[in-house]
Amino acid sequence: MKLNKLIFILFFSFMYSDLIIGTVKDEEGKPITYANIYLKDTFDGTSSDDKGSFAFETYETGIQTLIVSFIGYESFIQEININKNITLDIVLKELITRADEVVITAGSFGASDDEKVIVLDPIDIVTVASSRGEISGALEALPGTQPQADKEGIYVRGGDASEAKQIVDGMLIQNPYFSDVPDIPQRGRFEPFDFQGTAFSQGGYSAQYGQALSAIVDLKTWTRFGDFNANTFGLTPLSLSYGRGYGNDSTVCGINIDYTNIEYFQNFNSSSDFIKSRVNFSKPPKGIELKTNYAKKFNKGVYKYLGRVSNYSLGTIEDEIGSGFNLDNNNLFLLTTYKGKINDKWRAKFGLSYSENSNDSEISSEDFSDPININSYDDLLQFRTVLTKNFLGRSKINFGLHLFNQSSEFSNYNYEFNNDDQPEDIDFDYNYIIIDEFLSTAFTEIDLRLFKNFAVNAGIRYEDSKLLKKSSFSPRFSSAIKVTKHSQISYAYGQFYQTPDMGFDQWYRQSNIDIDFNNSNLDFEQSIHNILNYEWSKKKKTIRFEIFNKKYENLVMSHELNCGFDVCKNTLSNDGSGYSRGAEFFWRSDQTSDGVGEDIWIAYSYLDSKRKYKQYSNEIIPSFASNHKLTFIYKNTFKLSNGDGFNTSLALTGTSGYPYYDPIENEQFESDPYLSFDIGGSYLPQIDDGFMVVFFNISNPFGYRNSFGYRYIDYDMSVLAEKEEKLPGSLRSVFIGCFMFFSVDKD
Amino acid sequence: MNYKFYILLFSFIFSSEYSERYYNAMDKGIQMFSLCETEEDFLKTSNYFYRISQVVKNDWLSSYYYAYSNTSLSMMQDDPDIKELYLDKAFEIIAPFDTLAFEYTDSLALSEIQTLKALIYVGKIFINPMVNGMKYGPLSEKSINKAISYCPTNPRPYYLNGQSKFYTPSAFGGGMDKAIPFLKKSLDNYEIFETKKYWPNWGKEKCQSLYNEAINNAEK
Repeated sequence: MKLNKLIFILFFSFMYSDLIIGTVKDEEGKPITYANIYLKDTFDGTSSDDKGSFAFETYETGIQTLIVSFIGYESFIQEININKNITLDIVLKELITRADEVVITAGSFGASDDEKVIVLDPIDIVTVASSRGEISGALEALPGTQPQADKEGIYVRGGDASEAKQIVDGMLIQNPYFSDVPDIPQRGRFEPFDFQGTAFSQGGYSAQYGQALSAIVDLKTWTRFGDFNANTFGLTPLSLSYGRGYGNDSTVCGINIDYTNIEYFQNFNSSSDFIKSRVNFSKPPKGIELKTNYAKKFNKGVYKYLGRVSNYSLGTIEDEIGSGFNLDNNNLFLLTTYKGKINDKWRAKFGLSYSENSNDSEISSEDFSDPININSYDDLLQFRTVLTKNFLGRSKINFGLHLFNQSSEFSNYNYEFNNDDQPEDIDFDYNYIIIDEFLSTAFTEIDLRLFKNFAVNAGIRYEDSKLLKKSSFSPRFSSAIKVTKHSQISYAYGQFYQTPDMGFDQWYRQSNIDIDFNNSNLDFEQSIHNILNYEWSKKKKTIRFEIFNKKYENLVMSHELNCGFDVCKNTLSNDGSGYSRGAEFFWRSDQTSDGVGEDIWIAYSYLDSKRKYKQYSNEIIPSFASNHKLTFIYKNTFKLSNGDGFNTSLALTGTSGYPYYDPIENEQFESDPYLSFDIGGSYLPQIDDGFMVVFFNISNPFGYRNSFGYRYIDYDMSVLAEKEEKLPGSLRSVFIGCFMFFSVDKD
Repeated sequence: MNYKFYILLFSFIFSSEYSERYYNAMDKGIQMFSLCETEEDFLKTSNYFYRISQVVKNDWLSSYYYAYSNTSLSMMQDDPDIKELYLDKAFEIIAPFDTLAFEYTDSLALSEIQTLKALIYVGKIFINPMVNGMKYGPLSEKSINKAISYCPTNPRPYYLNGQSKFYTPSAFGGGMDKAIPFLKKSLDNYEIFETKKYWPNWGKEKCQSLYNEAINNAEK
């Protein structure tokens, strides 16, 4: 009977087995161990061994589907006809994972994707030994930036500090540093732990950012909800702080008070031969700050508020560095933002911020009988909104509007010889200047991500200044292409405009400028960036090369208007120009996991920059543009046997000499090379009810005498004085601090 | 008549062979699973259960062991992308069993599945606590609560709850002392809990050792 025969055949075929053997390798020919090899819809299959070999038997016959899969690789699927033993050599293609997706890295550490990328988190910043616990200090350990001794700020690729802007949650920080003190760099007002992360762009940034010719520091505040109720304490020889925070799943609020007084530390410093402070305070720096924050989570978005109000005062007397100076500063910073979804396709961000800064300051010198009052005041009200629409998967388009209502006030001094060029006949005249600016900006940009290995971002930004009575359009373009799984090439181009920093940069007040600031006929200063970048990264190891070319146009320059004996009144024009070009290299191997392990990086920058600007009518190498910079950072974190954490760090920064220009000889010189060596460490004991960290930092322990060249313009108003060496505030420095955080039991 | 008989016989032979193969496969799989220690063990076990789950599509157990092995594998990786891929695969396979639509699943099964989902979310948090904590913390908590409501006698959701309290700094609402009641409840449940053949049966020893550590700490 036929059917019997059929069953017999079927039965027989069940009994007869074939062997499927082979190997599984990746594209480089390396064996893939424990890949899953099986016939679809059957139990038959196996895992490959450590040589990538596999063998299994099957009773199936005919056409079957063989599948080979392994995490991180594309599955291999092939139909095979099983009628005898089969041998297969299979090659699996590595999957392009989300993090392998191309990101535009030209110019920026991090990426334009504002939701995801955190470049430096607070721990990263404070564990860089040369950071002095400051955001800007940590950025100086990256390529492209240069440390400066006499003025705060970030100097990026031959750009002045005023060309780098700091942004918090999309809003501009008008006064990121404590008020300028002659010749002494000031600390930042914001501490690393105020932020979840810091992204840093050294050029070619997107149309979202404006009013910065050189760089953007983009800070993101914390968004963390959850049950907590905690006290925080901070203690350093300089300051005391106390805070209280409370949170649940949808609401967070906190208050924090900081009190700073450097008196004791300063007494210690001046009596110590080790530190060798070069600054002499008549009134040690003293300050108090109140910080408040609040955040609320709604169904579709998050609202945040941040407020800071502070008072700070100090007095210095003329010494190795510094001049006779008194300062009393009041600062207010308020920020509210809302970020949320409108619907599936559209998202919106709103920001409103107000800041106010007033300096009561005076300067005294042997040259004038009474101290001169140099008060200043500024405020800024800004509103920003960005609408984002997602389309075609991960592509998006942004529309934004950012309005600034800004006013600044200062005393502008003019002086001239009223007759016969006799020094005793110098005539002082001062005007209290009020500058009102309303800057309207709008931008749109499109971020195209059609393929995983190719990305394009193109945008345009419009700015209109009421003060300058000018407007500008700046195109921006960047793109990146993946060349291999772990490497990519990206390119960025952009035009950038910035309103001259008239109300804020002391140079404008000190240079005997006689113009109507509100009808100055000045135009935006301008820069054009071209950046090409190659980046390779794999498993937290990074290598990057970058070359850039930055062209400056319309820089503000002073012109002698009315000259007497050695003294000229000046007017301003946009005749300045310049260039910056260079190459940078960065290598980092971050082998930490769960916060334990080594993290090493090396950064080298070569810079060639010249400009004519301000009082320099010929192209000079600016003082913040030394040719070479090399940084070496080493960090190691380990756990002690009792579970306590310990971190050690070391930083080495060297630059070729700092350029300076001698206006008397009319010649360019260079200081001795700069070498800074810092060691730091922190200790994190395990505490039951909280968190504690004790940290220390010693800067320049071997006492290498660093100089940043010379300055020729003294504070007493552009009279050419003897040259004065620019030195760090002290030969060495030592810092010890402790931060504690412990919860309050709710029961 | 003959014809029909053969078809019946054939289908009987086939189905019994099929289910017998399933039981044999599960026996072997559970044996492999219980001996898992190294990454290799988990990889082999994960592969093995994946093959079963792809054939017996309505069987939550093979999917469960596959997803559990993947979650363990995720914790063993260095590369955050690979960690994520393991978890995504685990979630993809176990998530469909989350609903009552599968008639074979009873409330204990649903409880176990929710517990596993909570574990996958915890894995996501581990990848990057600062970024992922906000999103997956509440999801994990939700899954644990669901798991408890499906089957209050299941010890594992309490254990997970206790474990997460144990490792959360007290400043953020955790702490060893806060973990004690959950671990205690879990241990009590482990005493009375009766599982079925092939069904999840893990966590007791680790729960006991966490409990002991927390008690020691409290006595100090």
